Amino acid sequence: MRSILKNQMMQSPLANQSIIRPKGNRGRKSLVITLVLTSLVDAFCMLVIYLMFNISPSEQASMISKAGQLPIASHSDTLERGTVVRVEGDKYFVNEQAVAPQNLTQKFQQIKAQMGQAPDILIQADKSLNFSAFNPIILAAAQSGVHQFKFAVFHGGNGK
Amino acid sequence: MVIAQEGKKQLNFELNLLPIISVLAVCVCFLLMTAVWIPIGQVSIQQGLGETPLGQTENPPTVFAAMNANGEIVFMLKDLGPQQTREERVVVNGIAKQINWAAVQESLQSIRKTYPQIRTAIVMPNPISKYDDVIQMMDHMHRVEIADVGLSPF
Repeated sequence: MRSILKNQMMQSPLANQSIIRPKGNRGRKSLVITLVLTSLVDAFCMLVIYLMFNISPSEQASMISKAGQLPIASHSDTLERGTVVRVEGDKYFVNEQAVAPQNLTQKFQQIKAQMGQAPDILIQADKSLNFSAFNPIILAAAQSGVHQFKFAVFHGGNGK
Repeated sequence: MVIAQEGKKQLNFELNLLPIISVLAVCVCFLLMTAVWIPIGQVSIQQGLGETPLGQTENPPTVFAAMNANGEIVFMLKDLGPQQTREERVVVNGIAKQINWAAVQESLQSIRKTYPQIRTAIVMPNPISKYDDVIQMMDHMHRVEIADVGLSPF
């Protein structure tokens, strides 16, 4: 009397291939091709881990919510990490810390001293602001020896 | 899992990997779709800070784009070479105090066609220029393959 479990058990193709004690269909050659899935699982795991580390939507999502309406550019590069300087009207936030305009130079110099090299400034602001709001940043960065600027924009559009 | 077979307990354990692969495939698809969905990019510029030594022979051919308050754009071409006798200027008038971007694009294409050696540009906004207009100007520069774009503070 065969047990219920044995009747419902999935036949193992690997066990069927055994020469000494084949399981399942004894004496018959199984035509099932055994696919080794272990390496496929490893590849998928590495892919998932790589994508999780390289794509950080939380940082970019906060940029969308806080920046207001970013300008649109058709020729833009992939967003990279950098020292985020957010402009809200006449207020400046460097790495989410409020900084007075006259202290921007000092702040950039501190960051430069901590990093050991000139940081890349990523400027994030609403598109309706006047350029006069950005002038203190550019001048402070120039005084601090920072020469790489990036402006956060939305991809796409054919421009104006 | 112990498989009872003809009175002998087998200690082989086989894990069904198909559900694991399905879950991982869903995770991969989700991450790929969210990566494409985020539309934020960056426009990069590089500012010179007087690092140029005094002994440098010549400046590269450069187009300066002055953005005036009434939507007027003035392109000034400098350092085109010994054949340049005077400063070349191209004026693009605005429409209703707004920048005429179609005319700006045409002018830039014409400048690049006439002077293909120009690879550097400096954008000079005025204090009341909109941030969006400044970005658009830099974007138009990149469209005509002017790779080195700088921004001049006032």
